Amino acid sequence: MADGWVWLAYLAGYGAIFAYTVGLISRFRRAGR
Amino acid sequence: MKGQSKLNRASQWLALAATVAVGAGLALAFTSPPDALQGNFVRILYLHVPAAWLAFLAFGVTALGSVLWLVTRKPRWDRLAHSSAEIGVVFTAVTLLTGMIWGRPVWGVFWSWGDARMASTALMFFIYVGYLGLRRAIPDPDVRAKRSAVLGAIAVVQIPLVYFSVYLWRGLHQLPSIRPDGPTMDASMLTAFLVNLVAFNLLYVALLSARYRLAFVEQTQPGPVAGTAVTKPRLEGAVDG
Repeated sequence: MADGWVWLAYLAGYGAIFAYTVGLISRFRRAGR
Repeated sequence: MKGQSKLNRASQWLALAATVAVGAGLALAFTSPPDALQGNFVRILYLHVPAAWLAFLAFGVTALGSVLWLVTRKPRWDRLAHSSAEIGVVFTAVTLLTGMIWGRPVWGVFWSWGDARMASTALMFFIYVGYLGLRRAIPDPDVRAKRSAVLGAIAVVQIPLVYFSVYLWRGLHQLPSIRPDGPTMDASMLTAFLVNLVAFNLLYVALLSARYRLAFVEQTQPGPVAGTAVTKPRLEGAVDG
């Protein structure tokens, strides 16, 4: 199976997308919707 | 409102479809065979290449929104351009991060400024971060829309520059694997790649629809855009009133 670099890449890539999505939801909440 | 709840329902289905597709893409990326030369590191490319494609798509939509705003002056096109640019910046960051992590074990380096693909992608990232910065710095909506539309329409030249950089200048980065004369990879790898590509496109549409609605809410509800320090600057020693 995949090794450390692969896990790191997926953690970084999907981590960034997840962080953006969570940020978007919290901005929605702040905007009142 | 009925229309609003229908829109919310559509967005929820879209988010669900994107999540399922991303899950399928992840499963295929980790179960597809290892590459003959790269071994398991090829799995990073199932994330890296769709992210790069999405960055191109997102900035292309920004250019389209910018041009349509310049022609029609309708706020919806400015919202579309802004929303898509923000998502494009996120996916460019993902492209750069995953590319660097792939490059370290395969090429032996995280980064090389001598490589045209890396340098031009970094330039694209900073130009669109600049685009978002420009938007935050201008409080007046019309001036903001006008200046960012001009930048959004011009900055799109970055896309062909990044794409063709591997043909124009020889560097570390390889040529595209999906070419006009056919793909250069095994069918099982191509399936994993295409599923991830479809998943990322769905993710883009889901994120864009949410970000667009946020832009709509922010534009229709008046409030400070960049804080009072920018919208109402006070000179030192100035007397209020």
